Amino acid sequence: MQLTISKLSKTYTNGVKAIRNVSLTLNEGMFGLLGPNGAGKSSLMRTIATLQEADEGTIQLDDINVLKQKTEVRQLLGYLPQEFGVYPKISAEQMLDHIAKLKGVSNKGERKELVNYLLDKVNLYKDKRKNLGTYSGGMKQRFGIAQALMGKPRLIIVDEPTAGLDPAERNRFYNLLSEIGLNTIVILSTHIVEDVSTLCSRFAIICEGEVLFSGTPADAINQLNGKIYSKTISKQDVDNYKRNYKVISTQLKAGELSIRVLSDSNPRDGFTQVYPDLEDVYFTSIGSRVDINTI
Amino acid sequence: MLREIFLFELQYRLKKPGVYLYFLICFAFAFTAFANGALPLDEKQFINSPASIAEYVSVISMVVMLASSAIMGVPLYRDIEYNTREYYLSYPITKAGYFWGRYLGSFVFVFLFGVAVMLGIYCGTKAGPLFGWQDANRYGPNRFIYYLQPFLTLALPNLLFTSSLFFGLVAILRNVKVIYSSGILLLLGYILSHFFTRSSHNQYVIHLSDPFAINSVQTINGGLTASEKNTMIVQPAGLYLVNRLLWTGVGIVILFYTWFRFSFERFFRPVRQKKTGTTELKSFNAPGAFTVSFGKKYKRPVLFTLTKIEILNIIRDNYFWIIIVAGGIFLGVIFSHGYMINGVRNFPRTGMILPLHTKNFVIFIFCILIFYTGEVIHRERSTGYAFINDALPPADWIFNLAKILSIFCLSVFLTILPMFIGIVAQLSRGFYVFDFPVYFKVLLLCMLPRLIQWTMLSFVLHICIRNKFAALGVGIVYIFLCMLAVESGYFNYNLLLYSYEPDYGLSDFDVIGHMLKPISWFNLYWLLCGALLLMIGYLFYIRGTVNSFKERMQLARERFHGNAMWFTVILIIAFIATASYNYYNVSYLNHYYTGNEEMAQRAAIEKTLKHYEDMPLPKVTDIKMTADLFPEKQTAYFNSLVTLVNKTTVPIRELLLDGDNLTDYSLECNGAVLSYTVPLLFPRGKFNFFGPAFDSSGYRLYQLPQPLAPGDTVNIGVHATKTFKGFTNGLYAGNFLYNGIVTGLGLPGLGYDDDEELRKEDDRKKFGLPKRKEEFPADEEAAGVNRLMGTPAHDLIRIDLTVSTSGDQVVVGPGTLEKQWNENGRNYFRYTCASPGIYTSPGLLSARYASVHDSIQAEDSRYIPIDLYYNPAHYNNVQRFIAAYKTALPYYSKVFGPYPFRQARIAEASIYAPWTNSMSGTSMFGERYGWNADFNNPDQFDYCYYAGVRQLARQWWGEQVAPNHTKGAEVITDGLSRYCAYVLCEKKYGKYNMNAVVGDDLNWYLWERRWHKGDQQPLLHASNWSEKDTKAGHVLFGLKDLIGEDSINAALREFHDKYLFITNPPFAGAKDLYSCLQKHVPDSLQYYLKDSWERVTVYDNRMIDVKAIPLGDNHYKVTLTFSTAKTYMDEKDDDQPAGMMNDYIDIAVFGDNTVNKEGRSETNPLYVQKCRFGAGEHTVSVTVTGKPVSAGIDPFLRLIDKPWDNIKPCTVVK
Repeated sequence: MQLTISKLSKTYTNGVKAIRNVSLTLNEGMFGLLGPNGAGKSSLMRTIATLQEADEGTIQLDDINVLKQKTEVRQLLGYLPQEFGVYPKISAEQMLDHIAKLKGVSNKGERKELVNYLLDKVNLYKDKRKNLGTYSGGMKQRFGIAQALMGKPRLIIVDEPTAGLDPAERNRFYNLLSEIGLNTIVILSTHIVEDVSTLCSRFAIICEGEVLFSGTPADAINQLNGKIYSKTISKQDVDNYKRNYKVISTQLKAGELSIRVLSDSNPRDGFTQVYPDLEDVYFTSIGSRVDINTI
Repeated sequence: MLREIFLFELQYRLKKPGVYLYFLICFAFAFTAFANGALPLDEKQFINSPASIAEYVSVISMVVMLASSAIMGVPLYRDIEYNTREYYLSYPITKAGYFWGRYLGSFVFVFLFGVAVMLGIYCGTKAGPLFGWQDANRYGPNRFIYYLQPFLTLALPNLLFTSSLFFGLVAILRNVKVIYSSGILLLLGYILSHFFTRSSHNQYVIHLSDPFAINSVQTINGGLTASEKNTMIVQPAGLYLVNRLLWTGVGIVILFYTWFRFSFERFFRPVRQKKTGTTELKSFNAPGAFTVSFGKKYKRPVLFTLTKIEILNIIRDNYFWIIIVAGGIFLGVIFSHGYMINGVRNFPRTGMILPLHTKNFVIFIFCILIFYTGEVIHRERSTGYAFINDALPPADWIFNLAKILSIFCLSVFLTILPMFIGIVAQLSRGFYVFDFPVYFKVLLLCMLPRLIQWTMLSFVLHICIRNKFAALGVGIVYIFLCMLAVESGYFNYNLLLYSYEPDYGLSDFDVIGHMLKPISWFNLYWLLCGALLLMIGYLFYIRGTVNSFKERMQLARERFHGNAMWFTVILIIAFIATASYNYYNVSYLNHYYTGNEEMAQRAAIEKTLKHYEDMPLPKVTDIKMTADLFPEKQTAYFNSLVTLVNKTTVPIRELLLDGDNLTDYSLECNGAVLSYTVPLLFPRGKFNFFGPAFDSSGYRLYQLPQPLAPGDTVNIGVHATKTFKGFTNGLYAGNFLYNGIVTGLGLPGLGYDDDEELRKEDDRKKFGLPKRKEEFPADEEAAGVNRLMGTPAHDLIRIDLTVSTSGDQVVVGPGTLEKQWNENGRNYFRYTCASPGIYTSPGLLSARYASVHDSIQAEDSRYIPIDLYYNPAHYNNVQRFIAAYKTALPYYSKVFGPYPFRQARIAEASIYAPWTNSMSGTSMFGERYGWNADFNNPDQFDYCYYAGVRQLARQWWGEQVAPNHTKGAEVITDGLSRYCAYVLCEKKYGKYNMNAVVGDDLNWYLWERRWHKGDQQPLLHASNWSEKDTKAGHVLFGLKDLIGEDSINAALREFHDKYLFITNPPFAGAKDLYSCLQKHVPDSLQYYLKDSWERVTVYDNRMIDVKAIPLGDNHYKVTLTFSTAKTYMDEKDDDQPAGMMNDYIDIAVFGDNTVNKEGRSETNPLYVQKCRFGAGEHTVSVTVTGKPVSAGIDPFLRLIDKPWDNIKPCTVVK
């Protein structure tokens, strides 16, 4: 399966350009979307999830025109929105069973098995009879994951799925995703750069609606190989450094400031060359668009 | 702190469109009411009189309550709803600042709604005359105090009460839905208590039970004259003041109670999570192969599960059940209470209780439906589940259909619920006749389609208007506007009023009968329209994030293809076809006219034909007729030979006939069909586009072949048809049911009919008509004496009727039943009144009757058969009517003269007929009157007996002595028959137990007197019904008490004999009755006669104090202190003290009531004396045997006097 997005654009009625001329090609496997808040990740994901119209461009999932053949897409889709609610007076089990039916699992026995399996996987099995209205934020998020993975989705779109999950739950989720996500396209948006590097075969960085980078994490890091330098400086000098160097990130640790700069050649001046990581890629990319100030 | 929160609240509110909407609605309601004078006003009352402003403000504050519930409920709840509680607690906010800031910030807006009402009234009073909606002289001066005072005493306290209540409820219960349910509960509770207090005379109940003071204001205003209403503001005093202080106090107490109970910690505490049993842990393997398919078997189960989840969402909401239970209790109480007549409840017969639901309660159901439709449609969005839901595979139409189906299920539930409540209510009354076909027809065939239509409209409103409250507002305003338009008669064309259908009645004779057809057609019409609305809803249904109108249009275009398009096309074709059929019936086969057009027609008749009013008319002296009734076809054919005699002094050349009650008719004379001209045609009605340009007015002008010379006689043949083509916009053929015909003899009216003239001065002015002249002008009294009441053609008529009807029905007619037979499977009846004839208009009834036959010895050797025809289901009180006849017939025959017919008949008529009516030999009682009364307590007033003896009395007073055409002449029919009924009730219940019978009538007269104060006449010139009937009966009964039964009977007998069946003038009028009475009243009592007949006299007698001293041996000395007074009404309609007074008034001392052998409680007078008293305070001491309990002045209500202060309990002092 292949998802091809080409020249997609969307401008909201209030003038905000959420998506600008985005072209991406996604194959089976996990695809990460990185970007600051308001970058257009959710808009892009909503558009792929058939929930939003685009002004221009096309999205093609194999031979399905995503923007037109919505029902066909929805039959393959598993979607976890960034924010969502639930019917407060319905139990998790009943709701998942309901959603399973909607996702085409018509055999009662199979459905029951599937519901229980997913409830167990997201650690909600013991709370399955409780009404969703009584769920805490984390429980609700896990319910959201369960419903997104319900059925046989071939395209899974999860928008910041790990928000509100503790590290153990997070791991659990990623394992589950890998387990289910075989032979599927998984689009995952996150703020956590590390997640992308450990999970995603490919990823894209989006800022102000535009794709700034797309490729494998290794390629991304390779681009910066030998171009990242680090130095520990005192806090009051930071402005000075910002003027003279391309500072991509700063980190305050025990009163001392560690900065990383991008430079084609060794700037000397006490800088040491370091191995680039994905975070450097991220900051380098979006730094060209927005002023990142981590202090 | 308070200031910041207060200001924040103001700013927050000002950004919400809701407050502007509410403000506008408050303003618009008041504006419309006062600009159009749509208020319950007296004739001379200004539209903006202080009384009407006060009354309006008190009533409208209930409506403002709904707005205040929306405003006052949210300010605290908002912090829970938006989870601001998480950080709010960390701010340095004081409890006082938070609580009062929020309260005051919101109350400001409620206050402004009150201002909007006053502003609306003011602007309405300005706009009304400015735009010519109302006459400028209907408005009085606009004084500021007229507005300020009701605002301060009514609007503000009422709003303070409701605002505090709602604010408090949310603060304590921490839930906002409590507002909706408590708002509805308050409204229902209020209507319910209103239902009961309306019949109460207890001043404390009336004034204090009502938090909005509507009852108080209405009671106070009810006692004022028009001029007082125009100038006096309702002063807070007495119980009214107590009411205002009480309910304002309750509001403040609630507010402060809330304040003391309120704490941040409690309020912001997260909702406790219910502990549910944990399920044991199991480990699950990844499921094996499972199939996912979206094939053919996908849609139906998915639709089912979606609908099921939607229904679960509705019914798992506690507030849903609160509303349902509240409505159910309300309906149950109303159902089991049912209608009461004379303090006796009717049996809760299905056909009688259901209209209580379908006519009034249905609005409540509409509100529930539109509210829950909103909930259902906005549920995904308001819960946030939409983001998941909208990306799920089912097609848009499946989601839509599931939502619609769930609301349909709700509609079905709400349709069937009344049946269960009805059955429980019936059982609780020990009534077991559940008429399931009636439940089925009314609820499922008539009601359910309307509810479904309504959900369809609600559906599209909620989809197209994205704000839930705005959609709710639009829907509710639409209901009320439609109701207003229909009920005010302004507009009622059902083809243009969504979900409206022709009105129908529920008769036990025919249930819905022929009206089921038009109702079903209209229901189909609106269902198709609703289905089209659903298509619109479907096209604009929002899935995912839709940002602009343009996008919605684009989506709609995308959805409008394939099945959707074909479905729409089919719907449109079906809709147009149904619309055409309905239109064909309503506006082509029949002619629909708006209320305004009908008035214009009446004005045109008066303008064009009024000059025929004085045309010489012959009198009808003989009618020989054969008629064939075909109830199953709702058709009748009449062939009559009518004898006309010219009793005038001029030759008669032409006849003006009014045949608008007939479908068609023709006249012939000596075998030749008479030709006619049409003196008036109406222009085509606005809505009858395809009909002929002119419509018949029903009037025809016939030229007689040769002029009818004075004294000459001519026989005219009349062939008439009555039938119904198609159906009309409203109820039709009410008196031509499949089972239950009530009809005249199928003859056109003779002469110009002034009954149809416009009466209201405003209407007359609007159509350019002069002021209507008095009906009985003094200068025409001499002429009036020479003709009978009714039309100028009225005379003593000899009739000979042969009527046939279908084989299972019986015809009841006037006079004597000569013969009845069956021929060709049809029943034939011959009724005659040959000698001397009948005065009243004859009529015919036909239905599937059961009958009871009895007889009574009327005079020495003459037995009169009594035949009673009734609906077989209504058998309970048949013997009460028979008993009335058996008691009254011998009495009347003895004291007034022999009964003139060979039989006495009683017949039951359907709901569409008048409650009571009588013609020669036959009395008629509508099915809602008496037949179904549930007499279960010997103390109840047997009003079947009362009505029976009263209607029988008309066989003497009306049938034998007919009133002439002068003012007050109906005293002879209405007044004397009521008097006779009193006399016979007295014989049944005893002399001292008549208060229950007389008291209600007396109260009614006094009530009417207050309303029509400027219109009061002495009995001799009585013009109001309350005078001719109620007052006349009362003063005659009082006279009987003074001069004795024999003397008054002698006077009445003399009067009767003098005018018995006379055919030549002068006919009897009120004056003649009066002079007969005068002759039989001794001089010492002439004052009473003069007071009651020549003046408007009212007594004000009241007991002040009653004390008793025991004398031992069961003897008591009772001292009565009381005051007496008498007033006469002067020329200015004011009551003035009578000056001289030395009148006979009863005083009495009562012991404990006794119970007679029938179990009926009876008064136990220990002492009764009639004494002469002057005006002023009196003290009388009497010695009685037995323990006195109470004492009274005029305790038996012999005089016209307010009854409630005449009797006081007695204090025994040692």
